[in-house]
Parts: sequence; structure tokens; C-alpha cells
Amino acid sequence: MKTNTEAFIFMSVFYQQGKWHSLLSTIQREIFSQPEIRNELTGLIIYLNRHRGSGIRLALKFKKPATGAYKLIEDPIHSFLIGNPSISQSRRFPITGFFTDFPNNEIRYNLFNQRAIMPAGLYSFQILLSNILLIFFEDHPVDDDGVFTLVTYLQIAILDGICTTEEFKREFCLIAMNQMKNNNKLIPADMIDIQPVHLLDEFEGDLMEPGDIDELFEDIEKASRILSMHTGNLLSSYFTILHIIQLQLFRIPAEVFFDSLDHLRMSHQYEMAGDN
Amino acid sequence: MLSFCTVAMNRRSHIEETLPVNLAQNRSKSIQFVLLDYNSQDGLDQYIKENFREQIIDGSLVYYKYTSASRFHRSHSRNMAFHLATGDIVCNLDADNFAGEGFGKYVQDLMDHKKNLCLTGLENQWRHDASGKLCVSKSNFLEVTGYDENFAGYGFEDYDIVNRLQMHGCETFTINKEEFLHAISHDDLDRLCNEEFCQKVRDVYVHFIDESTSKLLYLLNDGQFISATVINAYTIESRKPRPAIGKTSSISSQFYIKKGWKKGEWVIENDRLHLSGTQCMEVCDIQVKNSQCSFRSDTHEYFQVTLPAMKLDAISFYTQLINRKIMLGNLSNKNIRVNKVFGNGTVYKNFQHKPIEISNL
Repeated sequence: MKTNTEAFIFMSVFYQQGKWHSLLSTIQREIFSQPEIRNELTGLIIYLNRHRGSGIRLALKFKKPATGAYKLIEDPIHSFLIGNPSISQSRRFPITGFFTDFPNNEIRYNLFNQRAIMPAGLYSFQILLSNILLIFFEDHPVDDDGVFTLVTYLQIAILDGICTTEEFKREFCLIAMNQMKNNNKLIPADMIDIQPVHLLDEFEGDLMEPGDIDELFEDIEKASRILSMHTGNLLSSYFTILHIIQLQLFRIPAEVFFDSLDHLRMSHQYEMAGDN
Repeated sequence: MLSFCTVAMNRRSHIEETLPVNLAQNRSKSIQFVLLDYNSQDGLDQYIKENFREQIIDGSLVYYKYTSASRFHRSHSRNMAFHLATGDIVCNLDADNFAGEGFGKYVQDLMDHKKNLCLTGLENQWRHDASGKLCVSKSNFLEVTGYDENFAGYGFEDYDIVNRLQMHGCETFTINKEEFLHAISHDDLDRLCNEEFCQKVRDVYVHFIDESTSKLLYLLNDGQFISATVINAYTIESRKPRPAIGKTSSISSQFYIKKGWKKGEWVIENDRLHLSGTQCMEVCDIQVKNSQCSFRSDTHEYFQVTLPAMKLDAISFYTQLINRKIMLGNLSNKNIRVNKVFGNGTVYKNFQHKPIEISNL
């Protein structure tokens, strides 16, 4: 059984959203090409973030966090920021916060904390999703279309894991959408059940190169299946996974999940299955 | 006997949701609900009269009305309700809180074994908004003279009474059963709009200094202003990769004030804001850019807070800082008994005209 009690380093890299894909590529290249980092780093969670500035947050789990190993990652990212500076956004009105946003092209620490790390097992979804983010946004910007496409692919994987038949999948989509509608399209809080699920530990291997994206979506499907079987509550499992995705994708509005479900429901595949 | 005590000022909509459920889920001859209507103007009295006749007759619900309040005072109102409770165990249940099925029996069972327990919803592991839930023996409550009535607005009165009960010898027990921690989600407006400071604030402005430092300026309706430089303790050291922060207690403050609060008078003349106080003298020109109003001087640009939720945040921020200071003072001075008189006033029971005087002088 794995636990998440090892200390993390919580790093925030402030950078213009339109160029996040370049930053993600740099992070991926540096982390996975340097043996020193791979020896020291045991976990990586990526959060796309728009709170108090636009940037990418990294929760870095080191074998020995106090040794300054974080510098192995900070230095190349810092070089990237100097070589490829992005423009800081001007202040938005009306003002929405009591402090200014953090400026772009800076690295800061501890602006988020352990609360962003899910309990054992569910942490697997965070690891898998981080690897997906690294590959999916490797070569194109993180824009509305890209996020919608990613969410749709993730929904397909989750639904494949949770639902046993195509007909049930269509019915499940309708029930989930009704739940969201009844909560004014918010993800229903009472459906989120963040409990440790040690059955999912198998996905929490040592730091691994992201690999093939299709395999990662298959892992999401498998993890979703295990979670739903373990909890016995399909809707609660489903909304828990959506909640985790939401945390890593700059707290995207629940409407994106709703719309992607609607899109799937209306798609040819699910319509035909339902009409059989 | 256990008494659930609920106070309400213009919270009829919450009472309509919670009271019927709480009564139904905690029916017992040894459980009483005390509802203190703190001069609500939203028809709460009518609602109770029309819907709870049976419960009032059988004694499971006792309704009191206090007609002298012009503003909500959280500590005073709760102290009143606890005085009026006849149970030997008293339990605060905020208007937006659900007790939970069988919660009363659960508390009675626990306190049968340990008389000096203090059950609290503070710091519950579910982080549900049930921090107001407090169950204690009435004798211990009276010994510590109830909630500290020096707390003027929202924040920290729950922590303070738990601290003082602990100093008095009570053992704290955190309610961690999820089914006993449900509450209605609502915005801060319901929570704050009847409080004195909320009604005093006309506008709030922010002058940004850097990502961890800002100056807040509150213009009050009576021509006074208060201002302070606020530091965000969580981000001020963000350039340094210190060891990760663990879970922080809610009583540790994320913000602190540099060089204290400044006070003075304000006036707007010829589109210019004049601030004058012993520690500052400033004249600012009004500016409107991208629909954002600001006042600008040589040294500051004060942006008006227009989002209602943000304005409420600023209001509760002020009262919480003041209250936190009182709480820490009580703690460091080991003040257990903090009120000379508490919960005093005249109330009317179950729609009767005969006044009942609460006095503990």
C-alpha cells in the first residue's frame, strides 16, 4: 500500500496560457531526459492554473525533498522562461481579488499545498491525467477547443470504464446530465466522495515516461472501472473523477463536462446503440 | 433533557428548510428545540405560528421573540437562547444547519458517560460548514459566561468559547460523523447583512502594492474611514522553496496588518476624495476606466470593490481580524469568564404577550 505522506515541492510557473504547450514540452523533455531528475523524482502532478495569474503548477514528489533536488527542475525551466518570455496580462476590471496577479515568467513556491493531492488511490487519476496533459498538449495550444476535445476523450474513457453496455451508457449520460442540471450545472457536491481507494494503487508506479496516449486513456478507463466497482456507486465515482479533472484543468466550468456529455449523447455511436 | 438552540434574524428561508427536518429527525421527550427570533422582519413568526402549532403545544418546540434588536449580534442572541433552554445539555444549531438523524440521542449518550465534554463542529475532517455546532452542559456554559459579547461581527466566537471551555476543564470532542455535519450552502450576504459593521460600510477600495501586499480602504456611512496595509502571509515568502506547508488550522491567520489600522474622516468634494486623519492626509481624483471607478493620488490608486461577494469578503475580513485579536487575548490572558452580564433582554414566549425578563446580574 502506498501513501502520500512523502513531502512534495509545490512549484508554480507563471506563463501566458497561449504558450503553455511550449512550457509543457520543456517540462516533459527536462524531466524525462535527465537521469539525475529521474533518480530523485518519484511523482509528478501537473495542474493547469488560472488563479492569481496564468501558469502551470507542479507538485513534485522527491525521494529526498530537502536536498535541493528541485533545482534540477527549476534551473532548466528558469532558462526557458528567460529565453522565451511571455507577455504579462494587464489588470482586468472590475477587480476580482485583493492582491495583484503574479507576474509571468516567474517561478514561485507553496502557492498551493497538500490539499491539492488526492488520497491514496485517487492520486492515480492525478498521475494519469498529468501524463495525458503532457502528451495531449505537446504540440498545440491549451485553448477552448483543445480542452473540450480532451474532456470529451476523458469522458469516453470514464464512461467505457463505468458502463457495461452502450445502452446503459446512453442512459447514464442522461442521468448524469440531469444531476448536473438539478445542481444548476454544477458538479453535485454530495456526489463527490473523496476516500482512499487502495485498489487503484497499481497505477501509482514510479515516475514513468508518459508513453502512448491511447494506453493512458485505457488506464483511465480501467481505473474508472475499478473505482466504480469498489464504491458500488456509479454516479458518485463518475463525479469524483470529474472533480479531480476539474482541479487539474484550471477549475473549468462544469458546463464543459455537461456539454461534452451532451455531445457524446448526441453522437452517432450512442444514438445507434440506444436505438437497437 | 437536551435543548437545541437556534437563533435567527431574517433567516426564515433557512428555518423553513432545516427546522421541520431537525424536529422530525430528533423526536424525543428528552429533546427540546428552542428557536429565538431575533426581531426578524421576514415573517418568521407567522411561519412558525402557522406550521408548528402541534410542536409548540407538545413542548418539543419553544418559540421566543426578542423585539429590541436592530442588528444581529451573534454572541448575545446565542446567549439569550441558551439562557432560555431548559435542558441540562445545550446545543447551538445555526439556522442553516441540519442536526442529523438521531444527533440529539448521540450527544446525550456521549455526555451520559462524560459530563464535561464540549462537542464542536470546528475543524471537522469533512470541512463542512458546521463550525457553529456546539454542545455542552448548561452549567459549564454558564460557568464560562457564554459566548463573548465583545465579539461584534462574524468570526472566531466559536473558537473562543471552545478555548474557554477547555481552560475551564472541558474535554473537546470534534463531531466527525458526516451525517451530523450537513448545512445549507449559501452566500455570505445572509450571514453578514444584519450585522452592525456590514450596515456601516458604504464602499471598499483596494490599492495594490504587490502580489502579497495591498492597502484596504473602507469608507463608512458616517463619514469615517478605516484603512490598513494587509500582508498575505501565505505568499510573501513564495520565492523560497521552503518545505511544503501542511494543513493549517483555521485559527492561524493567512493575513496580517502592517502598522495597525488607520482611522480618519472622508468627504467627496468636486469629484475629489479627501481623506484626513492623524496619520494621513490625502486628496484623490476620481477616475473611471473600463467601467472601473478608482480614486487616484500621488501615492495611491484605490480601486473600488464592485463585486458583492468581494465586498462581503472585505467586511468579514475586518471583523474576523478584530475578533481574532479578542480571542487570542482571552487565550493568552486565560480569560474564562468574559461577560459581566450576558444574553440579557426581554423576550416573548410562544406568541404570548407576557414579557419574560432574562437577567443574570
